[in-house]
Amino acid sequence: MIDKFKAAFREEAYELLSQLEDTLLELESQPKNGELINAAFRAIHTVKGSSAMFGFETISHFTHEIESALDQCRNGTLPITKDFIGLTLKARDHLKNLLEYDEPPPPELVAFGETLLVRYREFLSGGHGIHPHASASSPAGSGSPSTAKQGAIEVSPSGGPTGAGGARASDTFAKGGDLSTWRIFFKPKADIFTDGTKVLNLVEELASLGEAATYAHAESIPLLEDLAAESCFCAWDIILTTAKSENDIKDVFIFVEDHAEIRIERISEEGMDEEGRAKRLGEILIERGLVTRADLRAALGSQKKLGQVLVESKILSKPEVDSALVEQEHLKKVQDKTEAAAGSIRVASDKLDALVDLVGELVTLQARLSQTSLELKDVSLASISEQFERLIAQLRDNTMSIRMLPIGSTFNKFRRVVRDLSIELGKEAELVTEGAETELDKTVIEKLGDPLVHIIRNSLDHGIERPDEREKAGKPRKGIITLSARHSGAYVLIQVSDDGKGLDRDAIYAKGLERGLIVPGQEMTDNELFLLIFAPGFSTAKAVTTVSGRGVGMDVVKREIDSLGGIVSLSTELGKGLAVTLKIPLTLAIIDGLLVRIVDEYYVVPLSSVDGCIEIHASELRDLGERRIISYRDELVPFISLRSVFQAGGDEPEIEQIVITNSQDMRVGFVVDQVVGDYQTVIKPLGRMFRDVEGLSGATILGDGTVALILDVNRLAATVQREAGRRIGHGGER
Amino acid sequence: MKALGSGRFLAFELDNNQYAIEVERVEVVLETMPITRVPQAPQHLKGVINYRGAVIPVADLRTRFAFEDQRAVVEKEPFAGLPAIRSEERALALVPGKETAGDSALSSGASIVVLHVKYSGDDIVMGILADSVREVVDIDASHIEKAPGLGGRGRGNLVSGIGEKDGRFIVIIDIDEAFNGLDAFTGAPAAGGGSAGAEAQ
Repeated sequence: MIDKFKAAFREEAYELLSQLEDTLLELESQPKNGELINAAFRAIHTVKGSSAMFGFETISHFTHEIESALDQCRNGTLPITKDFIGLTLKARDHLKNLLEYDEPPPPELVAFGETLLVRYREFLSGGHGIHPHASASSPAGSGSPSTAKQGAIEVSPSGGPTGAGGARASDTFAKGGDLSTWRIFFKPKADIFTDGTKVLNLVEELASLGEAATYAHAESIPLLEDLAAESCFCAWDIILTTAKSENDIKDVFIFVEDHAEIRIERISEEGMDEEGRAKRLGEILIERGLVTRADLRAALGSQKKLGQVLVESKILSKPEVDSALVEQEHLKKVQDKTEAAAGSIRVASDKLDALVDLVGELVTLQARLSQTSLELKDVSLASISEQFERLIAQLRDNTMSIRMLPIGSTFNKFRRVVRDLSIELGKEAELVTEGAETELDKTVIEKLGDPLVHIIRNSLDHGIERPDEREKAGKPRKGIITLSARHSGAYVLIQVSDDGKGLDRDAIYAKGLERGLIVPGQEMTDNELFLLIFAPGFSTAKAVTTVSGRGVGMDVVKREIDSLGGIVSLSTELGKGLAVTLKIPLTLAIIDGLLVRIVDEYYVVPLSSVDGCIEIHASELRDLGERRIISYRDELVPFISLRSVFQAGGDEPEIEQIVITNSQDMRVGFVVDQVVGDYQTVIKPLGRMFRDVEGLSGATILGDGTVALILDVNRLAATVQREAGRRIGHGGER
Repeated sequence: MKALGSGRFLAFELDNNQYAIEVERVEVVLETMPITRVPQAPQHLKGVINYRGAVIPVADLRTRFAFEDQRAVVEKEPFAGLPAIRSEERALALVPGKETAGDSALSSGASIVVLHVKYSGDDIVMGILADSVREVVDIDASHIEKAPGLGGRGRGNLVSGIGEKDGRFIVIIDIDEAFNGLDAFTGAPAAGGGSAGAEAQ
């Protein structure tokens, strides 16, 4: 039992310490900020209190002295200097190390703590500034594990909507703001499809403005034999709670105003009655003018549910009631959310991991179910299987959205790296962060930590010049490293840019030759050339510094990002700076895939990189000869046969399919025998024995229990591009 | 596993030869199932299978032995590699290109033995092909001899000893050694030539 409390204490303490680190770093730039001093004091004070309570004597003793020092800072008797912050950061690291042990901690740690305390006493006795750097080298060199790893994930209690869109929508609640709820009726005219309008996109766009519930009026859709496929028979009721204005909503419909009936009404009082409860169905119906109070009273006389009664007594049609019910449901949900927005529950992250694993197994099992139902040709089983599939897809999206964390949770670690390293190197630099709220999968965030540290270190070590050099070059003494994150489709773009000296094309070329990474006369694009800095054993630094000469370098970055299925690209201008961009998939656990077949082997193409599929006849292929280029949407797209890449053997069928993919803004096609269809793909690693295999990023388990391999589209596309470049020069590329 | 003592071993048959693996390494013996080929993988890896929801590699020790022989030939020590492989099999195993042509005589196997292997410092689960799995045998230390001509030559000692049980000889395989330090010999073809060189291994 006590272990449970200790674990809770540790978790809390880790969190407090990570806040403390943030606070201290901010305090460094605004030493007079009383709020920050108070925050630091409170953090230490809480750690002290709870450590004493759970018997962590050493920690409590150690924090006591820091607390007294911070108390003096609060009173203004002790000035906050850079040295003091440095010392307190060290103390923080020390506390973090202490937390790893039960009482009593190893003696060398205790001894190190004492040396820190001695320095605190120097500060307190007014002797600050005279001591040299701490004599004992910090055992805290390990750096701080990201909070994501240690901590728990905040989850909002109500399930929330599905997918990434849902996660974004929830933000509108977290921010509070002036939310209002709108009832939007949207009835496109029958001919709306003729001008190419995608009606569903409009509904989705609307839903992305906030929290939305939709009800589709399908009652006027005729029977299949009477159905005119080019006409629209649907109408929608959309209940939207958003901070956006009515005009923003109208803008969604700006191009279809003339082709649709659109009514936008604000639901009064944000949909709540006087007591702040969600409205009852009757009130909603009256407000919509569908029933009168008299009808209502008559209906309420019976014991059945109101909606049912109204339908039975033919006052309303079922869709009308259903639509109103959707509104009611939505209002309830909004209410729950606004009430719970501040409060969220903490869940240990391993429980979430277990949940994701279970969902993964469910998805796999579902694939088996649908395969079996197909084989049995049993209609009722097939319908169950379909519903099951839909539910599981929702469950999957929900679960994945819970695992999404804002990347900002790791940013403080990088700020610390920049601070410590710039002192070590005698440089002046500041880390500016943007897009801390960008969300991505917890495991991805964890794996990004090390590569980002390497990139930032590299920027600081090789990019940012010494203050005097910077002045000579007409730059401010202090260098700026910018770490930014933003969403782009199913990817997150993370960029580390600096205003340092940039990459020297010639120096890299020369170095590449020297190291045998390129051959003389080899033509390379700038990006290809600059990517050489990620090759193992490549370093243009003249002297090996303690920072970058330790055998772990930029090649680690490339490898890690590759293993995440990401792409690294560089842009640089000599003398102006370097920007490293990482394009990382949002999640690593379960993705939507496209299942394809080559002979009797199955492969999965991640759907996020699929652009389209086209058929190609054997005769067309023969006509193309060696030229493996096809016209797709007015663009010449190079393609390659997966049969030959994977040495699958067998004969080409008369009609093959080309899957067109998008990678690094280039389209590339892959010829397969057959496109089987969508497949919810639970990604499993191939394992280390296959680490040298190119073109595959993992494996997944199919419905029949066999294994299919997942294509590494980026890697394969690069191969195709090279081949195409070799065959036809550079004419066919965009 | 350097000092071989008495112990229990799982004995299995491959090309009419008897092999054995420490029984505590073995997790389960599966009936053969479809193996998914992994293109461009090292030759001794037949592919991957689904084992209880995880994707694990399956290796063919015969191909592995062939490498051992090939190396022995290269090192001008013919037949030092593995005493239990007969010469005609060796010849077959050495025919280049035989692998990609599909399932040749090399890849039959009625069972997959799932076991724990130490690989590059990690404990991984993998499968190896076997024609048939015979039994679990107890072999006394006095009946185990270090493999002839194999002692102390550093890398590639995939046979840790020869055991004798009821007059039969059983080759005891050092399964960790069998898959480590192998990469230099596998020569998996690199896709597309790797001209950018960034990932050249």
